[in-house]
Order: sequence, then structure tokens, then C-alpha cells
Amino acid sequence: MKNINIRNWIRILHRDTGYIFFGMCIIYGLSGIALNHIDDWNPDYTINHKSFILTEIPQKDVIQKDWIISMISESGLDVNYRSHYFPGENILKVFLKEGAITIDMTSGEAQLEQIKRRPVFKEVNFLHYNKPKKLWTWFSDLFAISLIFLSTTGLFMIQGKKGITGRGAWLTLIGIIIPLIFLIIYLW
Amino acid sequence: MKRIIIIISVVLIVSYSCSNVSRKASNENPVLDLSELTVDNFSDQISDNVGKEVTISGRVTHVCRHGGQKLFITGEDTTRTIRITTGENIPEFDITLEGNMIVVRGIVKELIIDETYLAEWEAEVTDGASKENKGHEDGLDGHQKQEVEAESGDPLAAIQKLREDIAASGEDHLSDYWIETIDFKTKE
Repeated sequence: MKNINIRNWIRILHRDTGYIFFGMCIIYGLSGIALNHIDDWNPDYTINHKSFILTEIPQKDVIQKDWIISMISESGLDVNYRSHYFPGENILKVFLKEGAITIDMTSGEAQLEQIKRRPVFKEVNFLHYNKPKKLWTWFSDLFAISLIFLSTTGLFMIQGKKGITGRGAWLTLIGIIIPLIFLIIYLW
Repeated sequence: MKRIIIIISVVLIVSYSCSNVSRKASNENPVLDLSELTVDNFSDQISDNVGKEVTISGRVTHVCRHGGQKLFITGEDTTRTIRITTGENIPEFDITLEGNMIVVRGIVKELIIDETYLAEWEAEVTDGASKENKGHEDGLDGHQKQEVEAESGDPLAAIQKLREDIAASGEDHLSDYWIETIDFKTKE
């Protein structure tokens, strides 16, 4: 009787905690995949590069906003001017709302870098990295504790052959052994 | 259950409003009553102001694409730049800041790169721990180290290069200076 009551409570708490932290699991799951592959892509932004040549570039001292806007238009670029400056004697950098153009004023070679915020991943990574700090630290700590609670209570949800005394024990063991193998190979 | 949802919603709305009020306050009326410096007149004095609070303005030439944890500002002399990092109240810098003039209030920081520091870094690399994104209280954090390593292609070569730079400087260390942001606002 007492066992049944404890199991019932475990099921109730496991269920409700699972509901509350469903969103957090998705956030950390998605950003976990993104951050696992951080060397292969930028999870915050999509960045595209395009090269083109400018045939006529006026002298540095006459380059103004108007010329840059018409150059953008004549080059067929779908971008919007923000500001510009000269990082070097013969280099013009144009800042755009969508990125930047770097122009070698001697050769006329231009490099367009178009940047677009990657939806969803930008947001989930922001949270995963704990950039809000403050209250988010507490909530994400609570989530971490809840993961331990969910996994522990999950072991005792089902009785019998498929429970922790049967099939469940083997599967749990596999889940513990796999990370141990990686630790043995790569760390210990 | 409806009551719980209502209570949570009210708490969220109140905290959001409070955070907006403080953010608004810091954006619209930040304490910028200190004499405002520029990159041109400050870059030579930065070493004399370590640990001090300064207010500096400049044009944002680059925002870090990986997490927005730092940006660079320049002045009239575009060969001079100062690195600005995020701080306690600034989770990250948005990439759209590029090209804007900003005014930053922050604390001048210094990293002393000496043989002890390089030896520790070397040990991290040799032990295969350089990929850990762990922070260093007063040093290059994991992210910065990865950038240095990525630039050189070989972390040990980068460390060796720093050793040569130290030897060439005639000092027993190199200093890396930056400003950690307290708050900032865009000028245009």
C-alpha cells in the first residue's frame, strides 16, 4: 500500500515536472546540437560572401554616402546603407543593415558579407549560454536539478519485467557505460 | 491550475516591466557625465588607467560573430582600435551595432601575458584541454584562446610567437588592454 502511494506520487511529480520543463528540454536540446557543431557553422547568424568588381571608383576624398548608395544600386545588391569609413589608405568599408562591403579602392575588388540572424537558434543559444544571467541562472539551475529528478523518478515509473529490475536495468546500464567509455578513451 | 498560470503570468509581466524600466534607464540616461574620451586620445593612455572607470566613444568596426561578446571601436585614426567586452549588465553586443557611433562606460582591464601565463596555456593545449570553453578570471577566456589558435592554425605556434614578442619587447611580459562595459548607447 505504502509502495503504491510512493509510486503514485513519483508518477504525479514526474508528469508535472515534465510538463513544466518541456520547453526547457527543447531549448537545451536544440542549442545542444547547435553548440556541438560550433566548429562547422555559426548558430547565431547565416553569413554569405559574394565578390564583385567595381570598374570606376572615385578619389577617396569625394566618396560620400550618395556615391555609395548609387554604387550599391548599380551593382544590383539588395542591401541598405548604414555608414562607411576608411580602415586603410585604399580600403573603404561600407556598413549595411545586412552586413558590410569591403572595397579595395586600388583594384576595385569588393567583398560583400551578408549577415542574417538565424531564427530560433539565436534565441535558444542566448539562453543556453546563460547570457541573461540573474533570474535565468536560478531557473536554469532549477531545470538542471529537475533533469536529475526526472531521470531518477523515471527509473521507477514501471514495475515488472520492463521496469528497473528487468529490461530497464540493462538499458540504464548501457546509458551509463557509453559516457564512461568516452571518458576512458579521451580523459582518463 | 488556472490560478497558478495567472500568478506565473503576472510575475513574468512584472519582471519584464521592471527589467525594461532598468534597461530604459540605463540606455536613455546612463551616467555619462565623465569627460568623454575618444579612441584617438585614449589609446596612448589606456595603460595608465587600468581598473578605472572611463567613458569613451568611437565607431564600431566589428562585432564578434560568435556570441557577440566583444566589439572594436575606432576613431579618426582608423589604425587605432580598442576592444570592448560585454559586462554584467550587457549579455551580448548585437551585430547591427557595426558602423554605429557608440558611447561606452566601462572599466579598463589588463591581461598580463608572461611566461607563467604562457606555460599554463601550453599545458592546457598539450593536455588537450584547450577546447574547453572555461573562463579565466583575468586572462584570455576559452573563446579568445580559440580565436588566437584559429588565426595561427597552431596554438603552440601562437604561444611561441607571443614568447618571441615578449623577448623582442625587452620586457618580461606583454599587456593586453580592453574595456569591460558597464553600459553603452548609440550616438546616431
